[in-house]
Amino acid sequence: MSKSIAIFLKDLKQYYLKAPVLSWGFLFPIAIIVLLTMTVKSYGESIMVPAMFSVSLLFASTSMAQVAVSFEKMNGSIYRLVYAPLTGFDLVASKTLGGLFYGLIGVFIATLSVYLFTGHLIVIHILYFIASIILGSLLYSLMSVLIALTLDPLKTVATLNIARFSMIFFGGMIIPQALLPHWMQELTLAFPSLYITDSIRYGMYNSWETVDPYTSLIITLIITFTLYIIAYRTALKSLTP
Amino acid sequence: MRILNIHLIISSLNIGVMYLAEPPIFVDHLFKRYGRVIAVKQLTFKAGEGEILGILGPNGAGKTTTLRAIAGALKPTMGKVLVYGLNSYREAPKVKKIIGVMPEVPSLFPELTVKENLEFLGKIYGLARSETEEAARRTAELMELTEYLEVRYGHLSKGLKRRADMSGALIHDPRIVVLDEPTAGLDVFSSSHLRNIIRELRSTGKTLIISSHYIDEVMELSQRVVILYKGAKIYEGAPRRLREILELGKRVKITFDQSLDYSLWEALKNKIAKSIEGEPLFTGDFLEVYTKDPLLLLDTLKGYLATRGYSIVDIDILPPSWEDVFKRYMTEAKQPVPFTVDSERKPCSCGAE
Repeated sequence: MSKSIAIFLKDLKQYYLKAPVLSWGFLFPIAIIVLLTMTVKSYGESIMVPAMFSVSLLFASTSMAQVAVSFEKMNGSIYRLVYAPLTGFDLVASKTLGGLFYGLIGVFIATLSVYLFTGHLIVIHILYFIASIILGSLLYSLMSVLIALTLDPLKTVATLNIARFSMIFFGGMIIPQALLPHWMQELTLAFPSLYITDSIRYGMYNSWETVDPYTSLIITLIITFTLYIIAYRTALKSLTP
Repeated sequence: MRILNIHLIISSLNIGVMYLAEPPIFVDHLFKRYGRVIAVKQLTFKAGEGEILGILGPNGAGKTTTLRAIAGALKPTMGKVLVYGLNSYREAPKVKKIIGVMPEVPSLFPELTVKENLEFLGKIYGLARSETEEAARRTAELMELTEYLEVRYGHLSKGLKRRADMSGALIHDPRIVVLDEPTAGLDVFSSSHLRNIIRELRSTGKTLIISSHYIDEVMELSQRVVILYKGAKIYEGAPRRLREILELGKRVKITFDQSLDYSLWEALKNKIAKSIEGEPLFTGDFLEVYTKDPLLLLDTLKGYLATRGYSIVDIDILPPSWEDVFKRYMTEAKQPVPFTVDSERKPCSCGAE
């Protein structure tokens, strides 16, 4: 784990002020949050505030790993890591830690924004809320690590954006599953964002839209673990064909 | 903690035993395929302790693939690479601690300073904090980089970047150093400095594997070379032996007192045609040819030119250039030897088989 932490700290030093991290990780979610605050009265706080947290978490968690891996692939420095005595775990854990760290910053920004716009912040199940945030951030980070490791940098951005925007609009983040067309409601179940958003909603407002909170958490856990296994198995293989 | 220390001692002893029993590198029938493209075909060779082994070949010959397989950064399709008896791919983390790699392209982290880069590499190679600082200082000193330690890697010139890359490869004091195109794009001073470092490393008992497009450099530095062509080995042995095999003759450089006109050169060329080999290089007042009998050639030239009012002002008789040796060898090896290769055999016999 010490090697993963060394890589994570190195990534922080290198990438924390890079334009793609700031724009995709923080500025874009803030813009979405501002837009969503206008709809709070129409759709209700328990729908829109968890959506703000979820969007922030998604973008902040996925931008750091994407930038770190893609930049290193482009400038060749990823090979320094490939030639070093690292395991797949070291590599995946280091890049995921970066995503988790940025995810937490994203949540902090969402907290501030929500408080500024609504004047209050409700979190009923604090431990459940924290668990949802951490697990959600891990899941999104692993997803971006996996995409960034296996695809070339240009395809990474495109693929990640398809995944992000699909989740925002069809993954139960902003538009509740019940408001989507019937055929799409089934599809929504395939997006992890549905379970993460519902978990956050339960942690904050003691309510959920689609899946009960503990099932949501278990499903999130299973997806996170599956992504980790795939990323672990793919990490070094994708860089050492 | 005590158990851990005992474990470390046992591990060190094991590696020590390995060092005695196994060659540093044994590439054993390495075969690598990328989709439909075969990068390396049944490649087999060894590198001995304290040896500099050069790997040569044109673009796409499989040099980088071979180096990556040695460094444990590539999964062979078939065959294996053993590093002190350890399988380089299956036991990659252990092998990577023994090997230092300088990749083909500048590859440290551009936003970090040289010092931060070296300290970071020290950490991921498992060095303690004090060891890392000492190693960073030592390698920077060796590569004459001390004054650039606080400069961002991305701001360094290409030559300094390659020196920093080399420092990075040496940070954990590896037993084996793999250098992929170490002097590519460097000026003569930087190249010469790097070559001196390579010789210095060899004197400390390290095994070095060098791949380069600069034929002269590899031939001068290496005790043995492996030449690859389309993924197969077409030569393995001492560079000197390659010259002997090809019987290229001597390289004679002649400078005339004045420029020869074209008609005179044509006539002269016919006159000496039987005593030279290959295509002569002629630039008016300068001629470079290969010949088995330099004295006969010079007598013919002097006699012919004297009657026409020309004379020779300078003569150099040299061994064949490595570049010419390599080019001739590659030309004569009309096709790569598939799968079974006898080292050090004359390549022109390959086509006949």
